[in-house]
Amino acid sequence: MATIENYYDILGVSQTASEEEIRAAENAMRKLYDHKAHLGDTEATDLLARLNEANATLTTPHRRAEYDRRPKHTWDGYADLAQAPPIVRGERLRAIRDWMSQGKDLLREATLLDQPKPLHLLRPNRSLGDE
Amino acid sequence: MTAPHLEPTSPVRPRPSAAGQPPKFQLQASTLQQAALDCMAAAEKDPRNVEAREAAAQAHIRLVVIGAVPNRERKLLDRAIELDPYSAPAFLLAALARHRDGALSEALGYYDHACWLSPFDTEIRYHRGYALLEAARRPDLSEEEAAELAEAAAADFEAVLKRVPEHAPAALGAIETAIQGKVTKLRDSMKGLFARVTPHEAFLRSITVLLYQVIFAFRVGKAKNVDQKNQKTMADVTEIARTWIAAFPHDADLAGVVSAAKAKCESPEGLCEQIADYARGIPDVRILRLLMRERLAEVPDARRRLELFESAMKRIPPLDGIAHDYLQLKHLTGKRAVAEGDLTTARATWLECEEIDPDNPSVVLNLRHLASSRGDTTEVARLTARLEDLWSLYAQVSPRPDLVLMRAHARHEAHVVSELDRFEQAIMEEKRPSVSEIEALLDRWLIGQALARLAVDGDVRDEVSRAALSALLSFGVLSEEALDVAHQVLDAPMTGDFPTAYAYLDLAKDVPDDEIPRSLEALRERLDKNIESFAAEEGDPSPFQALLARALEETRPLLNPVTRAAYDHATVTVDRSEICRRQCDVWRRLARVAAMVSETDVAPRARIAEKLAEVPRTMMEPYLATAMQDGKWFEVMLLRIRYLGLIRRAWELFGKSEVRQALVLCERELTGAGEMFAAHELFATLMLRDSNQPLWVSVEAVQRSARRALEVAHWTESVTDIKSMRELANAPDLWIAQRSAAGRALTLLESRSRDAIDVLWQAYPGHRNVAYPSTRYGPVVEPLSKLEPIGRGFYAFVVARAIRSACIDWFNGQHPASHYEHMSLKATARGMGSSAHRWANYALSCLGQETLPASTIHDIFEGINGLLSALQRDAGSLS
Repeated sequence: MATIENYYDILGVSQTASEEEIRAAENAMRKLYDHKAHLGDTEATDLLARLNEANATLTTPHRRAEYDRRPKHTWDGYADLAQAPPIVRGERLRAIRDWMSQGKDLLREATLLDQPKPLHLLRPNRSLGDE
Repeated sequence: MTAPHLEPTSPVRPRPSAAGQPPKFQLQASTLQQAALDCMAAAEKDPRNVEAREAAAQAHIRLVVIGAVPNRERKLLDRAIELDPYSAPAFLLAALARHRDGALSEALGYYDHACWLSPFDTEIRYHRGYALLEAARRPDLSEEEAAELAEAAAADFEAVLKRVPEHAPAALGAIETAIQGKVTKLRDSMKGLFARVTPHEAFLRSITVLLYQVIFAFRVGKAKNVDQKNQKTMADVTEIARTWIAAFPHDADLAGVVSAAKAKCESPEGLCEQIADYARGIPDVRILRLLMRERLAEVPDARRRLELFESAMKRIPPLDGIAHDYLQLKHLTGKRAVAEGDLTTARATWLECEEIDPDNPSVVLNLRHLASSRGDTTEVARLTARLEDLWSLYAQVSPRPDLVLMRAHARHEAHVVSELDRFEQAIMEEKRPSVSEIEALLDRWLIGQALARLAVDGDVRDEVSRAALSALLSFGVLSEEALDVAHQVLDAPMTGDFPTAYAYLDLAKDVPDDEIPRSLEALRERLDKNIESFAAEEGDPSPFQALLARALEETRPLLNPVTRAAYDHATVTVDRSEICRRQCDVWRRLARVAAMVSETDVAPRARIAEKLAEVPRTMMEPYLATAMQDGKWFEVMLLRIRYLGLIRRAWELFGKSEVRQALVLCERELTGAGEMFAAHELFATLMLRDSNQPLWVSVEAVQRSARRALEVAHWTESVTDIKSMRELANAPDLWIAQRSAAGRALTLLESRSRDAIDVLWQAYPGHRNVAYPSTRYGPVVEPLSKLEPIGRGFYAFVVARAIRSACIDWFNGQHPASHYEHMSLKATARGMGSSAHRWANYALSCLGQETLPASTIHDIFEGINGLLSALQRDAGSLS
């Protein structure tokens, strides 16, 4: 079996996989390797260790970000074929706002229905001709 | 936001005012400008005239309010603040102007100050809440950071709503902050939050977006009863949506909310089965895709996921984007096959993908990886040619050229880094890379860097022609054209400030807060250790001290989450900054490896030095000061790249005692190395040992070279070498002469003992320019043996050896004619022996003061002991 170096490839998940997807894939792969390791497959034992490394890195956001930036991992891994919709909460919320508001900030627009003017904070001033 | 100006208040939001109605002001621009000038003049005349200052400040504010000075708002407001630092409206308007210009962190500071001056003003609280919400939306924040900012925003919106319950924008803001915040809180408070906004057409779109956001604010899955909790929450969403549908029955997007809320509660199987209904109900296919992706992600088996998706595909027409998802799901079955070690299935899957989307470069790339892993070179070559075409095309016309360019960059960068690792390892094993290897690596690195720059910088990308882009993306031999383009791309100026403070700690901008103090402590420990060891060895620790001071100063904002957030916001994105930081790191590694190439000639080495010097430093410049390997270091490295090979060769000759040849090499080839410590050090050492040079001429040359070496010394020089040069530069002439004479004599004693005696004589105090006395009858060494031992231990030892050696030579060369003559010769020899004994004992007594390297002193010590034993034996045989 060819050596797989990329963590996403070890788990068989996409580079945009959510934490849940990674955990689910880790469980599935662990079952498979556990079975093989139990039958005396030494390669499976090694793979179990690398599975742990992959899981630990990809489920820690800043370690994953650092890992994703390494050129070797970008080049060596099997590339995703299409950009999937974002599954991370913050990105998802941002995407919905962007899609549906067509780039406008709707809350800002609602605010500007009545333009902000702090005139109520100004006191009348005789020097400026106020009565 | 446009410049604020006076208009009648909107019916949607009541205008808050202490008196119920806003005050009426005289607001003509010309009147105001004149009034402002008059008040300013009065305030300038008497700075303590509070009324004039206030009036002048207000005139400035009113000019901004009426929109009379659209381009000078910030300047006028700053002046208003200067005139009246207690003016809340001035601070609010200054904040709004900054907020509009995108300076959010700065705006927040002004909002805070306005709020402090007028804590109950709903206008100020609303705008600050909105600014905080905008900060919470930033993509570079973690969920916790976003939730924290959202909570602060919520507090402001709630304060507004407490005073003005019908303030609809504040109510909308409160909903969004709840969505950005914790999910449990959102579940509980959602109905109440939406109930505060009465259905009105002006807010229809905002409410629809917020409802969709609520749906996707929650995860799905059986863990922690999430699905069960979602049932109730989605029922609430449906109820809210129905309230608005009652007011706007024909709004399709709003109706889609009800369908999406229902779909959210489906199982993966149920969703795929009912997909046709949901596709009819949800007008935006992206929402449908998101629902499918979210739910199918629960299925851990990629093949089962694909089956479900295919079953769903049969029920709906090929909607936009669904084909992409299908391709991606198919690809994931291929990846799973790879993970399970089944490369044949993986290949079959990607071949199917190729049939669906023949021009997808990622499919070709994956097939190429597989072909490469099974060693099929023909297939690799075919796929490489195809990939080259596709990359070139995608980089020009794809909506995401950055992805293609980044992968192309990664190809080069991964190669360069792995080669550098290999070379560094080889150098440690004394297997040096060749000049041509480094040149090839440097070219490839340049192309890779240009691709990275193009990936992150759309402006530069727009300037590059298609042909140039194709040249950069080529897999073949790197062309001159590609290298020229790379230089141009890397030379383009970069905009924005770089988060260099992180570089001191060797961290990226997106590390969690707790990593920063830990890394700072590690840096401090490392530098302190260096400072201590340099100081202990009498080296100069100031470069380390300066770096530490700089690092502590620049990383200070990172230690506080608030100032760190402001720093992060004010600097360029993590992707852009990391590319530059990495470029700087690899450039330093390349320079270090280049100095160690196997070739010793200057010409080929100079080629690499020139290439390295020509690399545009625009991207790495900000990072140079964050490490000891700065611009000055690089200049030193360029000299080392050029001349270190030659210096190595000269030292090898010196090691073989071919001092003269080494000196000739130096004089002929090292003319350009005048700024190099190692060159002067070598020259000084050679001059000390070259017997062909008159002793005292050498002494002067040695001192000159040592002084120059110290002038050009860099912190990277060995502390021992610097110490030895400092000693030569500061030592008295006589000491240097004795050291030189001792060194020369040791070599000369092996063949020309008379020359050895001569040079030792010249180094004795007062013997400069004094010729060695001739002896008619006695041994030639007699005048030397009669001298009182004085000077350095090394010198004294060599004198002792020279006396014994010359004495033995003399004694063995004599042919006594009588017993008496024989006895007389023996007596003379004994005298010589005792003289040598005296010098040896003296050498032993002052060896402790000798400043030579410890190993040399040890050798001398052993030598003296051996000599004393030999002298004892001589005395025995002569008695």
